[in-house]
Amino acid sequence: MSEKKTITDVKNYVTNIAERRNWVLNKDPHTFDDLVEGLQQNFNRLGYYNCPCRDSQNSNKLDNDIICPCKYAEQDIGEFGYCYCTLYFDSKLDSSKKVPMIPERRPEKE
Amino acid sequence: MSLDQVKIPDNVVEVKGPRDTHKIFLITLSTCMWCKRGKKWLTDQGYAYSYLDIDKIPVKEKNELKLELQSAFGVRPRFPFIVVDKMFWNSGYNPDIWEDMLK
Repeated sequence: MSEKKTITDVKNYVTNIAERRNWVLNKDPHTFDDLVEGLQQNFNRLGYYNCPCRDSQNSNKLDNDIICPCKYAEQDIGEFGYCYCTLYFDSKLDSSKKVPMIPERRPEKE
Repeated sequence: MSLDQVKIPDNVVEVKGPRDTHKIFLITLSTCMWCKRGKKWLTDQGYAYSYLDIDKIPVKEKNELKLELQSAFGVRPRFPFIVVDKMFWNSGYNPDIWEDMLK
């Protein structure tokens, strides 16, 4: 089992992702803290950063496409300006504004 | 098409509120920001409701529940998933739609 992650670990992880992909993080402090906490809970019980807003199958393999940053983030940010859980935004957008939930791009399985 | 067709696990949480005309059931993920917003919206509006954090039940039981929901309502649930008066559902956090459903 992987080591437990602290809130700081998670913040460092998502900050690095955002920098590498040229995205910006959600600037609404309450929402950001909720998202980071959700990612921390998921890592510490599953061993990987499952998207906090998507249901896990407790399997790295089955959840591979929804491990943060999810496989759909790039397309969602391109189309809507932000990803499904709103952690990452297009760097040209104001990421401090409350935004509506976007459609689920993940295909149905089974 | 009714929640009566679905076997709901025991660990449902009841939230009291003065607006209790409708029976509101919310299926959520404890880690999900949209689900937290959904619970807060219902609480702030004064609705009595019950909820189930689906990520806190065993995977097998959870998958059975999701299949039953899909079969009862004809849609793959995403979360939060709201069911009003056992029949009317909405998938995702859509407070404008919820408001209409609760009129």
